Amino acid sequence: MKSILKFIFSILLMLPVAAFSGEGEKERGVRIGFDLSSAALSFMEGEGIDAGFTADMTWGDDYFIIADAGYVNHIRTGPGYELSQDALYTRAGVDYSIYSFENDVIATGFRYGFSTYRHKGKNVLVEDDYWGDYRGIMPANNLRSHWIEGVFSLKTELFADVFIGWTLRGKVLLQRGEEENMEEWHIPGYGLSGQSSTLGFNFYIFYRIPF
Amino acid sequence: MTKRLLILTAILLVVISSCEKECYHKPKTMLNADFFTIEDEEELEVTLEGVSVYGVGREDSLLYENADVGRISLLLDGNSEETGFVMQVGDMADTLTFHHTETPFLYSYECGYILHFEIKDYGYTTNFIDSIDVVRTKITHRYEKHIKVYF
Repeated sequence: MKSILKFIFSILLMLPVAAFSGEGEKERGVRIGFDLSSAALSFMEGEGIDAGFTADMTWGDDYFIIADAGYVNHIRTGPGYELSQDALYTRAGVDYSIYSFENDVIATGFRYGFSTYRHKGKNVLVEDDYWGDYRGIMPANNLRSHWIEGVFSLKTELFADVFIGWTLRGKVLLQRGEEENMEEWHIPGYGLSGQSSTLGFNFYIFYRIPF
Repeated sequence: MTKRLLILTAILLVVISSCEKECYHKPKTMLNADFFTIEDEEELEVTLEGVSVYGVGREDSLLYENADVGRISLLLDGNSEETGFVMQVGDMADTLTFHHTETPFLYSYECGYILHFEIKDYGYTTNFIDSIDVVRTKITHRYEKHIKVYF
């Protein structure tokens, strides 16, 4: 029976669901997660480090307190430039369990996000057939941005105290630090600066410290 | 099932990461000069016939050659703090000189950098030009009117 429920729950990993309640014994603890999706994308693109972490703790029967933190150190190479980006971002919020079975949970909630970051352009080349090519740098600017998120998340226990899960995020930018020397840029933790709202997706692996 | 989901997620990540954009259009930052004349205290747009323009030091390469134009767009020199242009109409010539700063501007990740400029000072000769008025000192890749040239 448990394997059938696990199968059904895994199916729900891919599907949005309406609110309903389930049965099962819950265990409490602090769950520490690592963002596999950001790390995998960063690794495949070979641009540097994008390490995202999350932690959640049960609060009452149906609530979770959530805190995320991430560190980004990228060097993006494009046509005629190298662009380095250093960033720290964090999110905090609350999830509400709309369905749970034993230690698996589907939840919805909100986050407040904050990111501080800077860009620096090196080896900048602007081709000019008339006057001659320009070579220079783009000086670093320190920027900050804030946003809020509505989230839909799912976590399932793979085996004792080890979970996988994803979080789908609908984000709305509250305030954007203005980079005068770039048309559009990536706000770590949020997305492209030119989008006042955007979607995000993170896939996590978790370890729960029971208490 | 969870293994399938992990594989599916990995495939999704590969697909997402392989969706790289391309650079379809990279603009140039041009200083736009519009031509005017004053008649009865009224500013009128004017088209000049047979206009040739080249950069000072680049006499071998014309930007405009015997063109009938009411506006010229000029590319400033990012490697210098001063850019000069010679404008000829018939056997008359005038020189426009702009003192400026340049700033690298990342137009897009796909296209790379262009330059933006800011005019700090300017000068001109008056063989057939009457005067110049700078209406916008910041010169970006967006189309804007920067100077008015009166004849």
